[in-house]
Amino acid sequence: METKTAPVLGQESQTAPAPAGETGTKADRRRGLRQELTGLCALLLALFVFVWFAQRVLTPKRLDYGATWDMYLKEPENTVDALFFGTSLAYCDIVPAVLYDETGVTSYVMAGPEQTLPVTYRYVLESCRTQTPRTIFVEATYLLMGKNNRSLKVNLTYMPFGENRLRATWEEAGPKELPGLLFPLYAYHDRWDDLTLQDLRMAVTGYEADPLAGYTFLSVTRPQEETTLREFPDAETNYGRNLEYAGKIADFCRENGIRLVFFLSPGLERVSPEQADVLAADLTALGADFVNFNDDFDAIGLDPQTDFYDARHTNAWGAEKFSRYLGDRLGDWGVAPGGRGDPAQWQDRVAHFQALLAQAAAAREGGGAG
Amino acid sequence: MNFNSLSYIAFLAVNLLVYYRLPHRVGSGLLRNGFLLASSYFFYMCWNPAYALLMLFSTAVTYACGLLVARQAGGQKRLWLALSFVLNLGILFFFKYFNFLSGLITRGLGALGLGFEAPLLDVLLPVGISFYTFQALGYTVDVYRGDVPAEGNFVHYALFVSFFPQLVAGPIERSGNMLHQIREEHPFRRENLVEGVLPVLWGLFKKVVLADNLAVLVNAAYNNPQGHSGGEFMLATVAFAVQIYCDFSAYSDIARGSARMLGFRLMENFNCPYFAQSIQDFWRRWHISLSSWFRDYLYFPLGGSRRGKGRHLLNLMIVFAVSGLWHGAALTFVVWGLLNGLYQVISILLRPGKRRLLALLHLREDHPVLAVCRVGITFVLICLSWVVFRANSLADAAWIFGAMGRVFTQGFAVNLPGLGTSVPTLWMLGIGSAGLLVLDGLIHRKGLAARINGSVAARYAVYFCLLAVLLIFGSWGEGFAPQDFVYFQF
Repeated sequence: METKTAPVLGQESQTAPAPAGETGTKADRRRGLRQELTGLCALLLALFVFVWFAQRVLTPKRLDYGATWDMYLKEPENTVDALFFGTSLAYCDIVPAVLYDETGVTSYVMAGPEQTLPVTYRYVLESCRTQTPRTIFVEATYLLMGKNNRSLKVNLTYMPFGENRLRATWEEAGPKELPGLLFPLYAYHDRWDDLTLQDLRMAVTGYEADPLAGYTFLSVTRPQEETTLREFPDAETNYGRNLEYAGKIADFCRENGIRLVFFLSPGLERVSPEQADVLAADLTALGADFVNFNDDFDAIGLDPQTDFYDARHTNAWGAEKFSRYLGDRLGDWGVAPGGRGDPAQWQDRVAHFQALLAQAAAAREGGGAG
Repeated sequence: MNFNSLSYIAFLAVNLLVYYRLPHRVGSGLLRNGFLLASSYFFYMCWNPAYALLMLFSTAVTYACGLLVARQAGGQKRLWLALSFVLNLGILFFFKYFNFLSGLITRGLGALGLGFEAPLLDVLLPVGISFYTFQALGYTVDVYRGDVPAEGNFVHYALFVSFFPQLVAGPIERSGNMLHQIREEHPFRRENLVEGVLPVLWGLFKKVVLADNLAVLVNAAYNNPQGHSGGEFMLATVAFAVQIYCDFSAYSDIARGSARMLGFRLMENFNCPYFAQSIQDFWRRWHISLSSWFRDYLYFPLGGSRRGKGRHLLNLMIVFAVSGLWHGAALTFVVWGLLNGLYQVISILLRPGKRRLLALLHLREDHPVLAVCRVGITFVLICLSWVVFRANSLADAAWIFGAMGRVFTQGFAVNLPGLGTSVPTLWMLGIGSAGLLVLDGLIHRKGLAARINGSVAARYAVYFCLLAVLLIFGSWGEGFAPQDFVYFQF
């Protein structure tokens, strides 16, 4: 059992050349040090570019279900009359294409899944960097909810890097989410074996404008039987903080001459009338409007048997009905067509939604969708 | 504090900064070595602060015994050596083997129909105890033999035992290689950093990209033997062969690289073991610091091959049985050691017949085709021994051998999702493992590392490639926990 000697890592062979600049004069050493610094800078730069591109490729592409920031940023600047914020109760229930079809108002849903008000506040600030809406609508149910870390990750990962994202990350993320939000490769590098051509293509070409303007099309129908009250186990703990951020949104809107409307989307599993009253009182005290669309359930014409995806969310047919009703009432909150936006693009959006609806209707009639 | 963690990178950086800022000449290196000693104890105490006392005790005993042996105090040179062995091996036995022996006694008496339960101790195995105990014992023997003078400076000696890069998983250093380096001055030299960075990155690549990803597949199969086919075990066993090599050699690489940055040269621990052409050759290339320790401090004292063929074969079996036991207090490790010993015994017994056969076939001993066949056969034999090493019990090992045997009658079938892996991952691991073998060969045979380090552009290009691969394919980040090195348990 005798050992052999062979040059190995960390033990250089006698014949190997010395690292550049290690032999010779002071000038040689200085040149060596310069080369070393150049190499180090080149390495850091190459790693920066690599990490940037790898993150673009590996981060899952976000085309629906909220937090669709890359598509939102493709919207021509200052072309949106109204912005909708909140949770899935906004992006599943409000169809900007229908609102446009109904009223000529251009709007966009910039909501995120299970989003609480501190994050919504950052969404409002970030959205208004590129758009100047006249009215902002915020779905208010999640004032009664605490944060969900998994959704927080989605809500913040896709936000543009900047003050709003970093502040929201710092204020909301726990120690487990923090590294992945600051350095998305930490969270998504293991997606390499799930990559598709679309991931690569979109990393190079980027996103296109959203043909549904932030709305998520739900074609499934699940008939609902009865109205129930939604439970909010953490309401007492989280309401104060959420209300504080609702106040910040109100302050921002006031400072920028934007009308603020908090609303509750219509559903079968609802905020209780008592809780809705508290919300109404507190939010109007901030100087905002408040409207509970559950009170207008019949006026909207929603059918629990055909218009719901689940007890909380409307499906595409329900969303269309609700959006047409909302369109009729937009004037109540000072929203009028601003003549902004590209009419051709908005007509395309109307046609696209109608085509999807027709396709879903055909599938439903053929038994293809729930 | 695992080597594969950001905290270790930060720890190493702080050590480098402070170490080179401290003047060597103050106290003949005491200041610098005292700092490294404190760092090493801090490093060790990150696992369990209490066990630092054990290491301190072992250090004090071997230090004192070394001095007493050198001075032949009381004319009892052998007595002090024996005392060092008894105390150190006593501690090792208490923490590592007591429960194993208790279990054996209980099972043995149970088999005889006696319902006696030997007591079990509620103790955790101190990390790296087998490594530093053997290193310290090696020093005592070296002093006894007069190979090195006894170290009079306790700080220097304590640093020899606890030097953080190689403390918890080797290489098991020799006093002749390390003590003089500890006394020497290590001025800051850029080439030390340059030579150290590459092994650290290479080690991280092997550990984080290959070993930890392979571990998923291996653990899925070996932790649920009844749920997998023979084909899956064949795949998992080859994966384990690569995993354990990557895992252990990664530790050695990072240890050697870290030490190099501080100006120290640690001994090499691996030399392309899967290119070995015989089991004997394999053990010259695998865990070299342990193999050579057993050779110098056990095999030779037992008489080696000088006391006749029978005794030679017996000595081999003894050495490999002890080597197995060193690895872990379980019958699987003992059987693994014995199996490796048996391979060598059979190889020696078959040697004359093999020579006659080659002569008959007019084949040269060094014919390339024969060399390839030998490498293949050796790899298969080693893989078979890894089955026993990795299995959670001998019963599991027997089951796995049975399942692998049934492949020849029932066919080769593998369900990748059942092994917790996917086709792309398997491709990545296959390509990575093949690349590893090729690069390892180039590093050891062609001085690849020195060539890379000789060019700034090549060096930074390699850094970039390793870091890029590590960032994408590595087992790190959200949902991953830094995996301990396999040899920590020993």
